[in-house]
Amino acid sequence: MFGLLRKGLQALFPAHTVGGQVLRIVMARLGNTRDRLVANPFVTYTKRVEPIAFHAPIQTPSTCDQPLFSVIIPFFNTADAYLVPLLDCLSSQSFSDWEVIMADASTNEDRSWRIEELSHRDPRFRYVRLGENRGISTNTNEALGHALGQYIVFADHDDTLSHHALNEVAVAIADHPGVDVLYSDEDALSDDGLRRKRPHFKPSWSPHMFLEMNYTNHLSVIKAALIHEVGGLRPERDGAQDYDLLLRIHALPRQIQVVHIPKILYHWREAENSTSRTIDTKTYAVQAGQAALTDYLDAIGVSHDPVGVLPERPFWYHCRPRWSCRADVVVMVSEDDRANRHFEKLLRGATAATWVVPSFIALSPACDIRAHCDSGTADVVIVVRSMFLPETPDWLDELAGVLALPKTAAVAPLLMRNMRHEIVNAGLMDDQGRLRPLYPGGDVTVYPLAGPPDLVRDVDGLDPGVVAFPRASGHSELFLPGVVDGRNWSDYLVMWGPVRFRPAKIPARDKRLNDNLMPRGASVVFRNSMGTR
Amino acid sequence: MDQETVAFIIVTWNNRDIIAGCLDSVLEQTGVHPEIYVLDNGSSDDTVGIVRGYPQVHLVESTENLGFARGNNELIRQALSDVPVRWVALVNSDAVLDPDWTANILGFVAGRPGVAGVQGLTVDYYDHDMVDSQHIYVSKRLQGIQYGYKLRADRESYFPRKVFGVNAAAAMFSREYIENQPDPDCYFFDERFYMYYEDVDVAYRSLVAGYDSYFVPSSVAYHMGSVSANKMASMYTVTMTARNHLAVVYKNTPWPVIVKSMPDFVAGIRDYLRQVRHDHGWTGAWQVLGTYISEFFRLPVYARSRRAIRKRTRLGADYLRAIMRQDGIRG
Repeated sequence: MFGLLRKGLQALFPAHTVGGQVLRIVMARLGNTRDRLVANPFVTYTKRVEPIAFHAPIQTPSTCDQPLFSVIIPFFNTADAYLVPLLDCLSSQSFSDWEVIMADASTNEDRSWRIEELSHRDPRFRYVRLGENRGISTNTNEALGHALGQYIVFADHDDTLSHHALNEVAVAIADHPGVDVLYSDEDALSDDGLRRKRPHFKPSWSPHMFLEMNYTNHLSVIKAALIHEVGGLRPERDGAQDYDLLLRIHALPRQIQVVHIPKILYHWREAENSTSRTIDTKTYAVQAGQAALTDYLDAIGVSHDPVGVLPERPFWYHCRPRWSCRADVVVMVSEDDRANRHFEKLLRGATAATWVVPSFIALSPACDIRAHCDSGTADVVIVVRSMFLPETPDWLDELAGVLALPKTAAVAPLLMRNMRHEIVNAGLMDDQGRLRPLYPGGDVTVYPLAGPPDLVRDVDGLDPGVVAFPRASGHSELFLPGVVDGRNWSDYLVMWGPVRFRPAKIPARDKRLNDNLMPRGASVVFRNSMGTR
Repeated sequence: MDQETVAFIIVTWNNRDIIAGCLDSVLEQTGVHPEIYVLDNGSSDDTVGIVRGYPQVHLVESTENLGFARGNNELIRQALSDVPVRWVALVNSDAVLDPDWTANILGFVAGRPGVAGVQGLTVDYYDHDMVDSQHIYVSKRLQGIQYGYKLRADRESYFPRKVFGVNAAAAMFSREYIENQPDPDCYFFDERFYMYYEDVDVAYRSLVAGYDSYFVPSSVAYHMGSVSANKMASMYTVTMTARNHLAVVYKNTPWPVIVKSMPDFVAGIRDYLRQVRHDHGWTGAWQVLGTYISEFFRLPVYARSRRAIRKRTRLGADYLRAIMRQDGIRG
C-alpha cells in the first residue's frame, strides 16, 4: 500500500524537479526509501567509521590511590538539559581510573542543590561548593587544589565527551610515556543535543598555528605537575585563560611533548549563551587572548608588533614577530628574459622594510645560491624562484620575523592565483609516503574540515617558489631547487598564511614583447617550477 | 557472614525441563545470600513438584494464570515485606545465571544511589557468543527494542554504562525505586498489560522519573529466549505487543516527544504491520491494525497513570529524544 503511494508520488514529482528532491528527502526522513544519497557524510562517519576506530577499554595498573585523570568542570547555574547529559557521559566512560571535580559556583540555590544531588550518583564525582563566583580562572584554580589526578582534563559545563574519550587519552599516554599535553579533535553539538555537526579534524602539533588560534581546545589534557609549575590559571586572562595557560607552559625553557589524538572526543554544545553563538559579547575574551600572546612572545624574548586580530574571524590572532636582520633576497631570473627583469623591478618597488635590511641579488637559475650567500653577511636568505609578487609591502619584515620564532627551519608565503581566491600552493603534506600539495586550486573563502586553507600551518614540505630561511640553517637542501622536504627534520617548515604572493602582472605591451622575445620553452619552465596544475 | 541478602523472583509456567537449572544457578551465586521466591502460574506439568524439591525456596502456587506482570508483583510485594533486602533480582524461569552475576552487579552499584535497575550481559543459552540483550530502550520510532539482540558478543569492547532501562529476563531492581513508583496504578509492573512490554514500561517510567539504569557486562546470564511464549499462539504475542505498545507510549512519553516523533512513530507502526503481514498474512495485519485502533480508544484507562508520571518527570524532552536516537545509550 505504502509502496504504491510512494510510486504515485514519484510519478507526480519526478526526481529532476525541486518537488522530486523534496520528496526524496521526506521519504528518506520517513525511512520509506532505499535512497542512501541523501545521507550526510558526517553522519555516515559517526555511524560507520568512528565506532570501530575507538580502542577497546584498557586497564591501567593502579598506582596508589592517585587516579590517572582529574576532570575539572566549573559549574555555574547549569540547566538540567546540559547537566544530566554531561554527568551521564562521564558515568559511562569506558575507562574507569578517573575522578571528576565538580566546582560549583552557582548563585541559584535550586541549581546548586540539584548539582550536588546528582554528584552523589557516581562515587567518582566529587562536589566542591565554591564560596562565591570569582570568575572562571579562580574557580578552576580552586578546583585544581582538590584534584588528585596525574593529568588534568578540562571540560565545560554545557558540553559532552565521547564515551571513549578518557580511554583514548589513556591509550595515548601509554603509547607516549611522560607526555605533557594532549588534545583531540572535536565537533559541535546542536543546542538540543540531537545533531552532531561541524567536525574539526585538527592537524598534528603545530606550534606556529597555535600562535594564530587556540586550536588544541578541546579536549585538552595537561599534566597536573606542569599546571602547578606555572601556577595555575591567571584571573586577569579570563576569557582566554586556557590559551594563556598553554602558552605559559610552552614558554617554559624545556621541551614540551604534545600528542594529538586524531579522533572526535569532545562535543561542543552550541548553547544559547555559549561563545560559539554570541561572539560580540565576548570581546573581552579576544583582548585576553591578545594579551596572552603578547606575554608569550615577551617570555620567549621575541620582539614583535602589537598582536592583531583577523577581521572576519574572532579568536584568530595575527602575531607579527620582528627580527632586525640583514636579508639576501635572491631572485632567480633567466638571462635575456625581459619579463623577469620587469619582475625584479616590481619586487624592489613592492618592498618596504623597516626591520630588515635587504640586498637584492639576481641570479640565473643555473647559479649556486649557496656560493653567493656564503660570502655575504646576511642573517636570512629569501629565494624567489617563481614570478610571484607580494600583496603587502611589509612581507620581508613578516617572513624574516617568523624565522625569529624558535624551531623554525624555513617559512613560505601563501601562493595565490591572480585576482581570484584560488590557492596555488599552501604547502605540501605527507600522504602515505608522498608529498602532496594542500588545497591545490582550493578557495581561501571555503572552510574545509581541517580549518581554513589560508591558516598558518606547519607543513611537511614547501614549494620552492618563495622560501625564506636563516643563512646559517643546518639544512643545505634549502639552497637547492626542488621541493623542500622537511619530513625528518626536528624543526618546522611554516606556511605563513598572512603573507600572500600573486603572479606578477605584466602590462599588455610588455606581454606582447614577452611573447615575441621569450621562447615558448621559458613559459613551460615557469609552469613546471610552480609544482602544481 | 555479612553477605548481602538479595531476593530472587522467579515466575514459572510449564517450565519443568528448565526450572531446575535456573534454581541451581541462583543457589550457586557467590558472595550473596539468596532468598528465592517462586510463583507458579498454574502449570499443568510437574513444575511445582520440581520446585518443591528445593526446601529453601518460598513457593507460591496460583490456581489461575496471573500473567507475568501480576505474578511478579505478588512475589516482589511478599519479598520486600519478608526480608530487609535492598535489591530484588528478577530472573526468568528460562534464564541461567553465571555464579558471579549478583556479586559483580552489587560491586558495581555500591556507592551509587538513585539506581532503578541493573542488567548484566544476557547471552543466548545455546550460543554464548550471541547476545540476547544488553539493555532495552524505546527507539526514536517509540518502539521497545532489545539492544544487541542476535549480535555477536564482542566482550573486549563492553564497558559498564548508563542505559535507558533493563531487560527483566535477568535484572536487579532496587527497593528504592520499587517503593517510589511514580505511577499510583501499578505496584511495579503494570498489571493491565498481562504480558509483553511490561519491562519496557518499567524502564521508561524509571528513566523519565530521573533514575539511573546500568549495563554491567562483567555479569553474564544465559537466556533461552521466549520459551514460555512459544507455547502460545504467536498471533497472540503480536496482538498483545501492539496493544501494550500504544499504552507504554501514552503513559510515559512527554507531549513534545510524541509530537516530534510522530512521523517516525507512524513509520514504525507501518513497518510492524508489514512484518505481521509477512508472518501471518493480511488477516493478521488487519487484526493488529484493529488492535491498535481499539487500544487507542481504550487509552483513557491509563490517563491517571500518565498524569502521575508526567508530574514526576525529571528528564528533559530533548535529552529523552537524544537517548532514543542513540539506541538507548545515555550520555
